[in-house]
Amino acid sequence: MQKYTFLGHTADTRLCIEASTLIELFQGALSGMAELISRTDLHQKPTIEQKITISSTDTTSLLVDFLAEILTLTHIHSTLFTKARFDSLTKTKLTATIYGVPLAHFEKDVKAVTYHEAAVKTTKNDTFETVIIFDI
Amino acid sequence: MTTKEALQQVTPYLWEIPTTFRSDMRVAARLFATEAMLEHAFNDRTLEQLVNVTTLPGIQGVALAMPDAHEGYGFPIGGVAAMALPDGVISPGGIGYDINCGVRLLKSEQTYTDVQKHLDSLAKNLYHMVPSGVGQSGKMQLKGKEMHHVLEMGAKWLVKEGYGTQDDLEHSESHGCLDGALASMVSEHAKSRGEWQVGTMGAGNHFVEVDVVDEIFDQGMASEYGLFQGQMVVLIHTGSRGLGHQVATDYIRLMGRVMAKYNISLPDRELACVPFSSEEGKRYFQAMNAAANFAWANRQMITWEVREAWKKEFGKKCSELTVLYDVAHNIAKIEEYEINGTKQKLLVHRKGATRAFENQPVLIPGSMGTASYVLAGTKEALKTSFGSTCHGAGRALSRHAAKKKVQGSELLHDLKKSGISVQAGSLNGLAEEAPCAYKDIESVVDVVQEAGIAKKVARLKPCAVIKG
Repeated sequence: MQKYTFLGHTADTRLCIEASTLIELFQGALSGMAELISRTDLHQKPTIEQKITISSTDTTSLLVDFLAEILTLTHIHSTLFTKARFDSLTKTKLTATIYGVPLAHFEKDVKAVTYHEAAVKTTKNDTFETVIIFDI
Repeated sequence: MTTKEALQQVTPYLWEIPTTFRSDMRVAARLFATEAMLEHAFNDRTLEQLVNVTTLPGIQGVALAMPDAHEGYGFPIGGVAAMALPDGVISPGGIGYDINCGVRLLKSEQTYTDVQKHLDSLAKNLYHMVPSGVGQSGKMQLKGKEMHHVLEMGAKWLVKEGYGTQDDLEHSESHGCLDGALASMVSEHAKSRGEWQVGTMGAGNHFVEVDVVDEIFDQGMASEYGLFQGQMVVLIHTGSRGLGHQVATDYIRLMGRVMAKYNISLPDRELACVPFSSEEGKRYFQAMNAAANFAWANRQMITWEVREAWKKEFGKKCSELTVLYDVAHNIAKIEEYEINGTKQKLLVHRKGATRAFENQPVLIPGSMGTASYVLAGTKEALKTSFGSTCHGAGRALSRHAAKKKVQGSELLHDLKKSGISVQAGSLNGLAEEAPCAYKDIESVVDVVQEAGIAKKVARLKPCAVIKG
């Protein structure tokens, strides 16, 4: 299970994600960011793939750095990445293949993924949750 | 959450949170605002973030928030903080992701009467000439040595290549180029993002706007600036685009990883920082300067594009648009101030705040459909606010809330009814930037005037708005 919702933030956009597993949390965050960038291209079948490896100091930073790297690749290659298959995901390192489609049109200028308010934690229901704020 | 009880009124326009409020505060926090404006500050985390800024190692004097301040990440937007050198910290969050987002004002010799009938056509010409919207490419590809020149020479290189004049540079903050920029400190990711972006506006709250000088408040200063009532001017608001965003992302990540080795721990990750004198601090400063130069090059190229559109509309014989000034409102600079009776060089972070040195033009864009202002910096600003003032109206509503209140098509209709020609790439984007999403610019400017940190010179009224 993973779900995400967008909430208001004065100048930017706040994404709340909840998921049953850490992998699903990362996947949910990626889906949320993709929806923010382009709803139109969101459900197209991926035709592009790229491998990425990220290492960070902790899980929250790992999630933010994962999204930030994908956002950078989105801007450089005009590709909307919507899915990820994780070869490995620990608390501080991941390797994954990300899948995307050519991006016809950015609906939002997502400048950056911020660390602000980001904190991956487990809930009393044993799910994972966090907030991610995007600088628009 | 900070409440009014935490604030002590210093003057009718200045409030302070003393260091007794929280044990980790190194200095007090101050906010320029009227009592009525404080409600905005309590509605989001502006004050909490300002208090967090006071915990930064090496901070001097006070941490400041301007009257247009609102919640950001790390620093509030509208935040100013000065750090001791060499070992006070440098914090990318104190500059923002859009390094050297700023404003340039171009003056014409024409009046509203001269151009009124041309506004729709002029707006279309500008929309055609100035690439706008996310993912839109400019006319110039920057690779290899061209990118290197832009990062290290800024607007100077564009002028050298024929896209402006020496006069343009002389009327820009830092002459459109910061020394101490090193292209090698900017990542390949950042350079890739910026490759096609010089001469592009972007989206969101960026714009090119044709305004009329609606009212003169200070005739003497207006004459010095070459402004007169009824004059047509052009405002350009944009920054360092994806290149700057990537520089900020790269270095916030780096600093988050290395902060612990400098024994720095902070209440907010986005305040990530290192000593200015550290290896990482120097690298970021060099990269930040390079990104700032990219932004000045961007506004210089857009100046050329606006001039071309103007000539196309009014003929080659019309007089050239000239630069009044170009200001940065997301930047860090080394400047000298008096602290406890001693003159010291400090690193001044301005995030959503504008430098306001004595008699220097200060350009304050309002929201679309409302006024913008030309102010002049003051001597008082050097004493009270590290030579800083506000940068705009400041957001009051989230983008989501703005879109719920206003339909883009309705807004477009209302603006046209008010006589404002609009060319916009996105109706959703337009709604997000509706005037109701912003604080009242008149109140913001009145506060900085009453506080003495800038004085009103002229008010500008929009006639044509071009947005991504």
